[in-house]
Amino acid sequence: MASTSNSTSSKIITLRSSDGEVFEVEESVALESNLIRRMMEDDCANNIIPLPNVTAPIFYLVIEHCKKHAEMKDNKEKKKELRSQGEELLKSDPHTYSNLMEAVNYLDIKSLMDLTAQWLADFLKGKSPRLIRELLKIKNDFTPEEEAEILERNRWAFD
Amino acid sequence: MSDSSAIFEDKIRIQNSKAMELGNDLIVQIVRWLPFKSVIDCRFVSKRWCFSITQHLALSGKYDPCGPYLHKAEYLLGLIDGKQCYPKVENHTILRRAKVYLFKAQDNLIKLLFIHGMNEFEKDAEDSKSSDASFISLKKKWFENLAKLLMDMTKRFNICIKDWDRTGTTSSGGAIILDIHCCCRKHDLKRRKRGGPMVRDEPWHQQSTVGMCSVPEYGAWRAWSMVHSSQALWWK
Repeated sequence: MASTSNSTSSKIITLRSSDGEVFEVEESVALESNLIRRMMEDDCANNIIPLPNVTAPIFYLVIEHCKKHAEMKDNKEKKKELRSQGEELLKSDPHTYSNLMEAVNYLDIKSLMDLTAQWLADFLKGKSPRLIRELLKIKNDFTPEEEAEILERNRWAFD
Repeated sequence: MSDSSAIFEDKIRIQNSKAMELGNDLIVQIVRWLPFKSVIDCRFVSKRWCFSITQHLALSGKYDPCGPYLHKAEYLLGLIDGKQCYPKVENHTILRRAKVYLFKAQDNLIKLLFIHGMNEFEKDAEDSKSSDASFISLKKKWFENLAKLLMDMTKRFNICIKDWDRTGTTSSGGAIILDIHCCCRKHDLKRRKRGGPMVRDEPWHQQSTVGMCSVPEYGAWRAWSMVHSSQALWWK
């Protein structure tokens, strides 16, 4: 069982990732997620909360980001740390970063969503569609004809 | 499985189905931080990206076949790092809601951007409880204000306006990008009077050699010629 709690005074929430790993997370951290908050409000949190859309490595990253994000309020150093951690992950493994974003989105962590989306956008800025596909492992499902049609429709933007 | 567990599993299933739909939202979350050129590029990533971006732009009112220049203006601004000026245009009835940007692109070229969508025209028309006639009058007023603004520019920046041209029409969302070619030498203007590289396909251009007024007001006069030209495309 992975424990991400530092304190024993706070209530602990137990969560299970899609690959079966169980996490014990401080309530304050878990409540950053609106999904978990809703589960708890609906009294579903007495059991282990399953998170079928999030794997353990990704959930670990989410928790780390949540903790840093909670600490970074009024702390510029923590803000820099979180940003550089995000950028490092983006450069080394953009696909995992996009999975992190998906998890953040699924868990409905609004504050973190804005940050991660902004950083990913900064990373993608100026990159060609082909490179974006490669980095995020997206399949090009356009036929050449369809691609030409979109190009034609958007020609005004490139005049 | 107990009843409560079953309900819980149902909730998870619902969340899962939502998560599948959220892919589009996620794309939107990303592209809303991108400059316009990159947003357009991203439409070529995949069908899903294309669909999400198109839908996002349509829903946000920033893109429709009639209003691409609104975005193009933003795109140009992003590229050239324009500085917004005239944030509040006093006494300019129509321009009060418009965003007006001015920036120097080259030594002798100033770009002036009016981002003023057709919707804004409509709002103005509603405000004045206008009939069709007064709606046209509002458009006319718009050009009067444009003329004032151009004259104001010549004073403020101590320039002569040699020529100006525009991209965008009311049918393209109402945003206008003016390329204003400036000079401080009168002989440049004289050369222009004899027939410079003007756009010939618009009626108001053909009138521009008639009734030339003083040098600083040249650009403003061109604006007036648009307003008063019965054949001007803007009025159709």
